[in-house]
Amino acid sequence: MTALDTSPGSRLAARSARIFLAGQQLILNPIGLVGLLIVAALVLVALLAPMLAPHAPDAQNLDLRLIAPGGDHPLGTDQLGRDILSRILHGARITLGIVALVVVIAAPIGLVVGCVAGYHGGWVDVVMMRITDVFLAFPRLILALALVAAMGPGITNAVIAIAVTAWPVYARIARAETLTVRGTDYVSAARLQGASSWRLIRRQIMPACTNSLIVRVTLDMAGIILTAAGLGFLGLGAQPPSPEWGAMIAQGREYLFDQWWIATVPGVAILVVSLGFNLLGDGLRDVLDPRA
Amino acid sequence: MNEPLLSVEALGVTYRSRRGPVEAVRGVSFACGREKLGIVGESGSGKSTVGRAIMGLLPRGARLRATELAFQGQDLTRCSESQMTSLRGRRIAMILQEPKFALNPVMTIGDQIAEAYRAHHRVSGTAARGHGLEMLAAVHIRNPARMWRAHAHELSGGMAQRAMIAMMLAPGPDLLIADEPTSALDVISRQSVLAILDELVAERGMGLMLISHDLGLVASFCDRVLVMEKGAVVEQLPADRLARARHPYTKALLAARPRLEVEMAARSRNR
Repeated sequence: MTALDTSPGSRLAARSARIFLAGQQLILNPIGLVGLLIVAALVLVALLAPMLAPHAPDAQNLDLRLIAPGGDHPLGTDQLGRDILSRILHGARITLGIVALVVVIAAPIGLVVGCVAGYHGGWVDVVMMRITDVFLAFPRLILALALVAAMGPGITNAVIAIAVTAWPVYARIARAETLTVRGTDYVSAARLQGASSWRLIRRQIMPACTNSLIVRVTLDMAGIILTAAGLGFLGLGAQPPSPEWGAMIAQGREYLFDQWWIATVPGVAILVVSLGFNLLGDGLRDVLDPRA
Repeated sequence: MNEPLLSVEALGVTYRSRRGPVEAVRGVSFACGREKLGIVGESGSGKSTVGRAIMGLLPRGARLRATELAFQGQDLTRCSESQMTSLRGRRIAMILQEPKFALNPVMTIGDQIAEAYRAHHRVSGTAARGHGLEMLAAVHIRNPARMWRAHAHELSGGMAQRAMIAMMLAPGPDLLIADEPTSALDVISRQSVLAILDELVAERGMGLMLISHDLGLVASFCDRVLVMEKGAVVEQLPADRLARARHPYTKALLAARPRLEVEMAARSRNR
């Protein structure tokens, strides 16, 4: 038992040590660090938006329309005289909210579908995976557009539509991981102990799938942001006067040649945040997935 | 022998293969009570398939038929999958050959033991932990609390097999099927694992089916021995009369055992 002496004193200690080590690895990786910083900044801005914003996001002042960046309005004002910086900061809340909701809805669905299909195999697998393929066959934005158009525009429907287009990828990954775990002795041993299929999937197989799923979800967040902004731009996502970034670009489109900042600033925000999630995802993959 | 726990009559298992059906087990009949029954045979003789057939965990494409396959009077061939699930682990348990692969690498030993127990008993986490720690003590783990927190990769083979035994015996089964439980272990841990098995089986009055290719081990450990060849039982006899076996196959197996004197003599002749 001497080999056990190096182990940490408690489960909590072990877990925090592992998170610390993973965090350290992530920080030592410059790309991952940049991603982490951007995402952390986004979260912070979203939390503190009302305190950081110099003006209310929907306060109109028609005397101060279309003012160029500088002075009292660092990023200028739009066609209704609203402060763009304040709108961007408040928009971060909407963006982050959409991303979080989509992930909370789509990731568990994908995980369950993939694990069940992979574990049972046979016709269960065939049926579930063909349904998944049907969803994968459409381009994501097009499918989301069709769904929102059918259900009616609005931020709730946009979240549902994006979640519906996001889960098939997770199901695929969970299934692939399940297939590698399913044949192992410890899964047979759990069956020998009389674990039911569902218990086995929940306790033995799902934990084995979570790492690659986390990486995939993080990488997907950029796509979710773009889809949400796309829906907002087309008028199917968040509705005005909501300061959603995609909708802001749509409103600034008409003024692009004379007052470039109205559309460009939210565009840059979308770019930076998507980039941040992508970089973070790459960094996480290096940390969490020893095979890559 | 008292009333049998398990009675098997004319058990046959057929695997479908590309070249037609392959009979892995043919007409195997035996009974196992609260005793130590050994099943020996070379690789491919169908001894592990018998164990898996009893557990109802044959691979896909295998067909089972039997005139009788009953556990404590319950017909296993007619059990639904959910009935089998409640039987597996709770009343019949099975230990696998490679303990280090049979333990989940990302769960602690304690979590796995508690999980095995709670699959059959509706108890709180603390109660499951208490019971599990008792089980670890019963398999002669000196520091159960520390073992509880360990992961499979931190254990030696012998330690892992003991943890496995603790896990499989936690729900309190009546019959334990051990499929080559010591083949992956070194000689010293082999002895201690066998001693623990012997002790627990005697203490709890369980039945034990020991599946092994090692005649010597089975002869010294079990009460009765079943010799299998090519899917059929060729001889059934008390372990202490193994030396006087009649069947040519049993004799051949006995003759094939490596013997130290012969090896040494051969080696000195070569020199």
